[in-house]
Amino acid sequence: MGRSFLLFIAVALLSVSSALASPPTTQPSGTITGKVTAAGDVPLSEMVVYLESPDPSMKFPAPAEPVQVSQKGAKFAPALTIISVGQTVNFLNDEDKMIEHNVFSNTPAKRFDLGMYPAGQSRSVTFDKPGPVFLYCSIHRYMDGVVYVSPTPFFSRVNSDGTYRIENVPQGKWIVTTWQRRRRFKEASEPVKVESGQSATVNLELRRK
Amino acid sequence: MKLRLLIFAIFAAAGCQTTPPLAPGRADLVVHVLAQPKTGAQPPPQKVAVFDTPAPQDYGDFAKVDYSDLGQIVVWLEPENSATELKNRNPVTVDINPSKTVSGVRHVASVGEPIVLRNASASPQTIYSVSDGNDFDFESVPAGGQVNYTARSAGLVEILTNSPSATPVQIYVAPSPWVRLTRSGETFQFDNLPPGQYRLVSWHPRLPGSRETVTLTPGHVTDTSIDVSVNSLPKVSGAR
Repeated sequence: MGRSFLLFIAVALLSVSSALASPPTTQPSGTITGKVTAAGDVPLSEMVVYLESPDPSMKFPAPAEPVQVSQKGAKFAPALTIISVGQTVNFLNDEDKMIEHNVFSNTPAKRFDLGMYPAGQSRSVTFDKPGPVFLYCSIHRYMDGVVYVSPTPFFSRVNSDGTYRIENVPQGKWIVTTWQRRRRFKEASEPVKVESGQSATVNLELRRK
Repeated sequence: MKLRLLIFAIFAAAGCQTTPPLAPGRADLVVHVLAQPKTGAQPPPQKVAVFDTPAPQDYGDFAKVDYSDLGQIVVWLEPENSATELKNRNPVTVDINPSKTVSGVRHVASVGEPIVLRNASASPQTIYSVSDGNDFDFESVPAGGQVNYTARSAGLVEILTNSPSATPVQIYVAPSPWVRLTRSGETFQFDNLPPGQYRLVSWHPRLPGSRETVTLTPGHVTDTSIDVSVNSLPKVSGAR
């Protein structure tokens, strides 16, 4: 067995081990687009479309970058924030006057009290369960908002014309589901198969029953 | 017993505040309701400096929560060890009128109890709900007409119409026949209860409620209080 053959084997083993150790840099993915429709003249802008995997054991890393929610003028902005399970939200008191806020939620998906804190300070919460988390301030009566925690990082806010688009969806089987902030219809769900480099269309119709 | 009834009748005739006599072998529960602000928070009359001039009556978006008069608090009593039956309860009647905005919880009912939904508008309405466990759909209820729905499951029920801009009518359905819609500062009484152990539960649309065990003994009036407050929520690290 010559030295060149041993070198070949070593290089081959190194290549295989490095291929196993690191995931592929680009995962085959596609896009899902569609339109949500409902009976009557119902505004759909405060609505979310998100993807779930039919395999509940599948886990997806949450984006490391936190999302910020402003409280200026005693208003949560954005009023509807959509994040992925495991993601963190920074609640910044960005009032330009000496006004304290006390953000809290008593929703099953996340119960928390950020305490009172003054302008210029921020508090953070990591959301570890999917579902809506309704936000309030214990001091200011009209201050309300919601963080919708999607079970996967694949979601879209529905536009006012009912359209939505979810990009970079890993190929495979998915379930597309709606969530309405002001629920007037039953939520809709449709299965879809995403092919690499392809765009799948999923239109969803909301019904009363 | 006749003497107690006589005393009660005399007091009642004289306009004195009193409670009816206890039925033999039964118990009463007096509940004091209190909503508490965040510990350390200034009460609403304390004006925020920036809004002192020109001192508006309304603080606009900065209006504060008045915990001394907080409404929409639902309180109910659940027996610890036995099922309860609804007996001869008058059905709850709810007027549905999309042109009249009434926000928040204004009615309470019990699981198994019929709810009369009356179309109080001048035109036919679809009256429906998509609330979990209490979904129903009455296609066309004529003006002035009414339909019956029997609550199947405990929780908040939002009743909708075919008017998309109308605020849903909200009813809280409790898992027990002993339920009250109350507010902070109120005291009320559950009368004529079978003795035993109960869970006294409170609920509010925003704030965490409470849950406590009370033991009712025959022939006694038990006195208790409940707190509805943000202070019972888990605090994040560094919160005060």
